[in-house]
Amino acid sequence: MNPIHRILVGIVTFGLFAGMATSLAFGAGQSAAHTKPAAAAEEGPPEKTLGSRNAPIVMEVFSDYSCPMCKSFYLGAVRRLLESYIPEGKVYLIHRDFPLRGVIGHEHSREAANYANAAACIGKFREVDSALYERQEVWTRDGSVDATVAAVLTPREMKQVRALVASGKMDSYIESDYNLGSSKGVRSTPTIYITAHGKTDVLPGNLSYALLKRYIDEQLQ
Amino acid sequence: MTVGRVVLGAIFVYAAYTKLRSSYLLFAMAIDAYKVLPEAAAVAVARVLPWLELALGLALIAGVWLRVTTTAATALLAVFFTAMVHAYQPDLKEGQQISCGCFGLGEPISGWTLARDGTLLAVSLALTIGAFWMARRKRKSLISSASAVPAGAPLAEKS
Repeated sequence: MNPIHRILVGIVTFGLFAGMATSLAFGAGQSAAHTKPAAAAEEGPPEKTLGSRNAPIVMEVFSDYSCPMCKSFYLGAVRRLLESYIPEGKVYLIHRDFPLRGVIGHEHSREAANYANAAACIGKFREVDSALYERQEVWTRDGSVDATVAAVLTPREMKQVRALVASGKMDSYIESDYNLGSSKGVRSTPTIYITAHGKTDVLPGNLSYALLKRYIDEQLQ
Repeated sequence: MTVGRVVLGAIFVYAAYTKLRSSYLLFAMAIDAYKVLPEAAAVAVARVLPWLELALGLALIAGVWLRVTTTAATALLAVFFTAMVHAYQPDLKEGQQISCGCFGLGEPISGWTLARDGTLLAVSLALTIGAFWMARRKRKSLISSASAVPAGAPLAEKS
């Protein structure tokens, strides 16, 4: 190897390791400054969340109620998190609406998001969130969002929800979530951000709950 | 040839770094998302692959065992590229776009990532061919040098 090539190799190697060392040191500094429970994500209506805000792990999920994979994620992961990690104050889940536009089969996504946000305003987000995913195949086909929500709320609660939906105020929450997702680079659903120890990563939507559980357990140690 | 292998080696080292700085379980989830390996295998690959990338990268930069390292790099990139092509779904909005996983999570497979990784594969393949060609040329040169000196011929005397 001639001297010029040796110098080139040396420069590249030094640059690589210097860059990694700097990044690790900077990252460690950031992590050290964020030892308190993660709160990396901004929140919309305060009730559109599941769990305790003081949880050490935060999952921010950009979702479309019409999306089959979002339903799979809800049934396969969120439901199971609701059985343990969320009520135990270990995971804080934030739902963000990201109704996909111009996609066949998603004509009622925004309406569903409207009802979910309205339900969140009266403290019934969890029930409506669950109902919308469970009966996704029905209301995406025949547009029966109102009936789906009414099945899990009392008449009085449903009256409040309908009034909120009709007011048009829920649109601003949905747009806020959508714009937040767009600014973060969200292009498909579900897009899941998980924050632990001050560091945020993106999880695949079709994740295995077993691997997610192992990851959460690892982060909680 | 040197510039190519140093750059390729640096990319491998960087790819290893992006995976090693986070929990291996995140990378395992990215591999599992491709749905081509059983979960246990995805975990095993997630544990081993970043270290393999690191070793390959350093070896490429150092220029040692070039035929082995360039062949291994090409094989690895070919596997990645094939998996990405298989998983690529252009314009997919409904359902998660599979994360490339090449340099950490959060980068969905796209035309750009395919072009990038395809280029790396082409470069690696060229380096592999170059490494074998150079080795062959060196061997021929050695044989030629050996045959130019008749057997039993006296060595030149020192003056």
